[in-house]
Amino acid sequence: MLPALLVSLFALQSNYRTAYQQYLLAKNQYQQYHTETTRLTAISSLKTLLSSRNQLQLTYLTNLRQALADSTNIANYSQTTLYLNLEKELSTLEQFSSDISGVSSLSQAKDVSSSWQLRLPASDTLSQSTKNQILLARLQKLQDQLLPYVDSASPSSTLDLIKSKLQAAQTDKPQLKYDLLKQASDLLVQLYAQK
Amino acid sequence: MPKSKFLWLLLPGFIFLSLLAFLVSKAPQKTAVSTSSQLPNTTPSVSQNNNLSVPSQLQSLNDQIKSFRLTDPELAAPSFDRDLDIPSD
Repeated sequence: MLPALLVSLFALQSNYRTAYQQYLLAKNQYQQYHTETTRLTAISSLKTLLSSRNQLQLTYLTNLRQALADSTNIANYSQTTLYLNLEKELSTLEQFSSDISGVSSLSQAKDVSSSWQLRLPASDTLSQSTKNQILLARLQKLQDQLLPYVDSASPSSTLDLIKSKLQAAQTDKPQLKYDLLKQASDLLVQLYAQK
Repeated sequence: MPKSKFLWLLLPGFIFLSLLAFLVSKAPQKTAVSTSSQLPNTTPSVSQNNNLSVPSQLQSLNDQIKSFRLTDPELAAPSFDRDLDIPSD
């Protein structure tokens, strides 16, 4: 399922790049000739660009919401909050879609685009938090699978070290959690190999 | 002794030696095939480090952790041109 979503996102990114190049061309022609025809072409290409940009962000956040739902059980507070914030952001982007459709002048397009861009930093923060939560949930699943092997291992100083690493792996930093989990897993394999 | 008669006398010896060489060359191959075909049945849970003490599921889990991707391309954010520099009407 996810590779198909990735392909879809790649295609939308490509559409956005094409729309951007066409907008630059239309804008240059309008600035050069200032005719009604070039103005209308600039508006049309700008609407296509704003629409493809909005659709790209909307699809990306929809994919993230799906990945979050797949990776977690939406049980704890932070996951639930993220899910609700994603819903809210998606709803706002859908509203932008209808705003872009109603654009009939360059000044209107400018206002809609500015509003959209103002939201982007907050949207980026939200997507980064969601990505972290997805990675943490995926790593936690792997960590949970290690626990039966920890419980059935004979007491030793290595086992104590493994337990302390797994305890420290209860962090909200994906890189740190991954490093500690990897170290604990390697030690556990070594412990069983010594039997 | 004529030369042709001498060759006729050598022929059985030549055939015998060829047959012997053929049988000797075949014998070790048969042994190798039978050994390798038995390996998967006799050692089903051999791990990558050849240690029978490590459960294969634990070894597999360890491999999964090692190959885990923190920079998953499926989660990569799209990039946008921040300033569109929209002209006035």
